[in-house]
Amino acid sequence: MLTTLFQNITILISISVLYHFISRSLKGTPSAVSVLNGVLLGATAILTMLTPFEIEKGLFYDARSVVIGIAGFFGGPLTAVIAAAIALAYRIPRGGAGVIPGSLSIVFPAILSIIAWQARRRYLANPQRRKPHILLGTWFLGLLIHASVVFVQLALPGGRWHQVIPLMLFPFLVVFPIVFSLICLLFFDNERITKAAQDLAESEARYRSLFENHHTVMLIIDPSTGKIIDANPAAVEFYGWDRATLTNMHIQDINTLSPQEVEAEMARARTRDKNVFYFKHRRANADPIDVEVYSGPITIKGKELLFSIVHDNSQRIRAERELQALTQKLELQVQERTRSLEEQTRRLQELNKEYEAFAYSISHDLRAPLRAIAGFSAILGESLQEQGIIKPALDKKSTGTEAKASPSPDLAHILDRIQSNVSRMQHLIDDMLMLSRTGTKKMNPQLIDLTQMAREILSELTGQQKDRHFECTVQNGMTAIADPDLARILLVNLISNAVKFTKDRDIAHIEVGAEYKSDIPRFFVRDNGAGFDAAAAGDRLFAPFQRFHSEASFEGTGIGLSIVKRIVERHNGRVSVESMPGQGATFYFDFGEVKQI
Amino acid sequence: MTATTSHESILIVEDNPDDAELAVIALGQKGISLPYQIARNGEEALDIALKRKHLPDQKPIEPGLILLDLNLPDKNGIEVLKELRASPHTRYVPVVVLTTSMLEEDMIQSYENGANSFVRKPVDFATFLHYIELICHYWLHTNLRPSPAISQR
Repeated sequence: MLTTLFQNITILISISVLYHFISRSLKGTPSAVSVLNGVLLGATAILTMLTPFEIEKGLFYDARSVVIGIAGFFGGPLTAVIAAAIALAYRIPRGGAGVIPGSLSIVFPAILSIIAWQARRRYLANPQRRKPHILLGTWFLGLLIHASVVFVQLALPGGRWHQVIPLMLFPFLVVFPIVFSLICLLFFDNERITKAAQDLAESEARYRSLFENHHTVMLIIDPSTGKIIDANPAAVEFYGWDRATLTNMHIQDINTLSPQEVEAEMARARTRDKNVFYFKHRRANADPIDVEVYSGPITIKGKELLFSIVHDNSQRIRAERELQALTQKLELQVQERTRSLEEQTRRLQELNKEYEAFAYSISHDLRAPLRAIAGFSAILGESLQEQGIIKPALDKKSTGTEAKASPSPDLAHILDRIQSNVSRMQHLIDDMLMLSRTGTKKMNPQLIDLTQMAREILSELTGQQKDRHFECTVQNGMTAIADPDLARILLVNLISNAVKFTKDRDIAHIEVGAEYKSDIPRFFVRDNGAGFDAAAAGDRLFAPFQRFHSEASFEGTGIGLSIVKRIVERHNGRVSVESMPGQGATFYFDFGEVKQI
Repeated sequence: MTATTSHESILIVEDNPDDAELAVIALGQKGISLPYQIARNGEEALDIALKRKHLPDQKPIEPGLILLDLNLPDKNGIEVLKELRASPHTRYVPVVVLTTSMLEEDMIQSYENGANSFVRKPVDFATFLHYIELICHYWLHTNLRPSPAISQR
């Protein structure tokens, strides 16, 4: 009995090898594996049935239940059904008393092992599974299968089970479950080996694919010689040499650096001193190209190699160069602009100087002939007086009003007109010079007491006209930050205008004050004089040589308000006027925003 | 006319003939009877004042007062002033700068180089007469200075 038992076990072990050989050979077509294994195990079941063991005289049993159980538990439903069908096809025609329990002891193990197979699948799908107790589990399954075989003996005709079952207990409930469990271990182990080989192959393929199919240029180099061990298709495409040529080349043939330099760089890559390199690489059919190389040591079969990833860097370098060129161009343009601005500023300064020199020279040169006219006409007047041709002590009014027709022109009057015109011209020249000076004078802003300044100017200007009656008011506490010289010229001009245009009033009212409606105080000079149509005058009012009264009624050069405007503008302030003919005038001005001194 | 010596004269340095003539007339009208000489440019002024050249039509005289215009055709009045002050012969001769210049720079330059006075020519002739009277009265009659003999030591 033991001999046949071992025979059966031997069959099962050899089947296990065959089974996994089929699984490995036909990987990728799982249904074919199942069918083939089903056939194999069905045949094995027949084989076990051919070598039965005798429990007692005339009662033969075999290990088919073990084979069918293995088929179901490892092969799944398809394998189990095929194996079972083959086994049944052999058993049923044999007939005999044991045909029903014999068939059932094929069917029951098949069903039980399929259920176990499904349970195992569910168990494997659970990611939080605990490590199973394989030996105990498979032993229990073996026990269950063979208990069912014992159980089906109840179907033996004529109550023979009374004799049979006690005899079956030892081999079926003790030996077979252990055998089943051991064979399962064998299958598990084989399964693990198959799976590991499969995983390894897959992993190898995956990493191989990384090298073969990736579009990045990759090289494997022997750092001791520089020989190219392998190059991927991307490298073949990039360099233009085929793989066989490339793998016969050295990296020194590709790198444009000298061989010594390349070796030094390889040493640095090997020691991980540096892992990014910028080189120029030669190509088969094109100019050398700028590349960025990531290189580091890897170990293959105990040999240290360099794995290099090569990037075409030419576009980046070209872009960088273009950017650099652009930046340079921009810088040049900025420099050019700056130069041209400086040039313009210098030119403006020159023009300003020229303008000042011109104004000065005009006033200077015009003054000389004027002085000669004034001097010689004065001497002429005295000389005519001495000769008794004209009377001394000129009475200006008599010359104007007495319209007597005289045979000789009134020489005294003519001389007087010459003198008066000389004086007017002198004022014009002086005012022009003043106007040019206010435009070019260096500003020296400081805190000034406008109240005090206005009072001084008023007393000086009204003091010259003792025959007139003035009533002047100056607001207290007016201060401003301005250039004191220019502020004085401004006030002199506005106040002297006020004095001038009130000459026909019995009482001349002149008021200097300030309004504090906004952050910037607005000052004003108000009079009750002749006034003018401010709306009609518009901007012309502050332009030079503009007059709004006849020269006979109010003398003046027409430059005063231009000077006022220029002074206010130099302080970034504003000037304006309110006036109606016959109703006096008010001139407003400010010195712009308060500046830090 | 107490302190004047007979050989002194007034030197008028003026390139504009009208201005020169007016100055002469003004001197006459104010009764300043000293002899005068007119230099039309800087070189001529130095020739006369430093007696560098004997001018045939004029007798050699010592200037007692120099009226100096700044704008001269050949050299700047300031240059003339420097040379006058550099020479021991004219070091203490009063120099009144009589000019049309409105530039403060000219005024400063004049004083720094030893001008005794700086007067701006007025347009009005009556005022000019008044100035000439004041200038001559002060620099010829009131003001005292070392004699040339002493200054040459």
